[in-house]
Amino acid sequence: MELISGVNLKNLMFMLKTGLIVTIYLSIIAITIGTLVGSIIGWARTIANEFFDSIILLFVDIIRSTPLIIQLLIAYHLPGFLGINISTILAGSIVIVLYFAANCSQVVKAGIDSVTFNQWRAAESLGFSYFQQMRYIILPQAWRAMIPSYTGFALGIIKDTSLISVIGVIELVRSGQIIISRTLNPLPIWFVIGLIYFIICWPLSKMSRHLEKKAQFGEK
Amino acid sequence: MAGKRILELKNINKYYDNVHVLKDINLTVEQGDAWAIIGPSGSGKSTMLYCVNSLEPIQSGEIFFQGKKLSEQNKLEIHESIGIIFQNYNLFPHLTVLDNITLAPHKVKKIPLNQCRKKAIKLLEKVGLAHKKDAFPHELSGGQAQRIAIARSMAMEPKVMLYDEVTSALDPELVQGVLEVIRDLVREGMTSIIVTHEIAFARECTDYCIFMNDGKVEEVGPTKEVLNNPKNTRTKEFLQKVL
Repeated sequence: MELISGVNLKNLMFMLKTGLIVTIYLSIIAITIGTLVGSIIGWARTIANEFFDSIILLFVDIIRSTPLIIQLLIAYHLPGFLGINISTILAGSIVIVLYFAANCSQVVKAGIDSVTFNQWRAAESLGFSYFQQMRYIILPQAWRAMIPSYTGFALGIIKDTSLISVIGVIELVRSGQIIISRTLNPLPIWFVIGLIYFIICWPLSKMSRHLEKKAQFGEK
Repeated sequence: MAGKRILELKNINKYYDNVHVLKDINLTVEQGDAWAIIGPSGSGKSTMLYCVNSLEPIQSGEIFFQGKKLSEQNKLEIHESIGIIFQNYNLFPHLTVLDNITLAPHKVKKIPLNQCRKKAIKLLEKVGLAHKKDAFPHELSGGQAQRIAIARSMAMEPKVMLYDEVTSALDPELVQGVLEVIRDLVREGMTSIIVTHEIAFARECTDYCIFMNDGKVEEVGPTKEVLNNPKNTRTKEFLQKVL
């Protein structure tokens, strides 16, 4: 390999693989736990009274109105300041999960709100319990409104996991920087890393469009 | 069958915040009777239907259905036994016509799906729309959607049917088809309370008539009497305007 002559190729591949695993790990926990927490928060907002809703909204707004990179830096320094001993990657993971949950909760809330009150009323009049109304009538309609923005946020968080590199966690982008510092040949490395992100995100983006189509009533 | 009390309203009062929308409503409906409720917009007619069906809470008074007092605890039971048809149909847009009709009996009453389907087809034949069973609500005309809504409600085998101005969102030429379905049900002995602006239909099809104004029952009696010889001056004024 001409491009990286004089450097142990095996070591570089190992570096890249480690970074990729961390990126995938962060993406998966952000999306799974974040979706779970976000859905609960979003749903809770639809039934909460004004007081509780304003508290939840404050939490959501703080997260949504500050840069993720700042939140990561705070998460890096805060445990030490408080005398808590947790690993950097755990602190960063929590921040990324909460960031996704906050955004997801808005999507879920907006999706449920997009279904008209008349649908609730019609469902109630037929004898469905609250959870049956939710499951059979409201969510199938809300889901349709949620798909585009939800997948937008999901794709966003996969790419944004790279920000965790500012607190020293070695994920895909950071591993790229390390490799470049040894090979001194940035362009091909950045192409390879860009390609890896593309390979992860593109199928998801495709799948989202497929789901959107499937959710169009009457085209099943 | 007539003579058996199925529904009783005693001194019902209902407020939306500080607005007193139903004022001391009393009503006794016997099984098999058809009632018309007429009156100007905003007089509380629809609200009364929602209260009868426990879709809206009341602030004072009592409602009895088959001798049982309505409460938060038996709300679901009441929803199952009393059907209501809305002005805007409110079909479920994500389900086919057939699924719209089978969902409640299958999920709420736990009746096996194939049985629900058979029943649904029968009901669709009755409202003349069996050929639309696989259509989605957005593919239906307003009149068709409203007939499907009636079939959906009937699938729960309700004891009482409530109609909330069911033809007022329809194009004039579609009104008759919907009224025919209601007329057939009334003739079969379905206890019905019909909020309507179709005075001619009320005259032809209902036994009793209530005139409501400003949240109060101003006049009540056999439909022909109320419509032909109204005693209350407000009823007279209203009928002069609409007839």
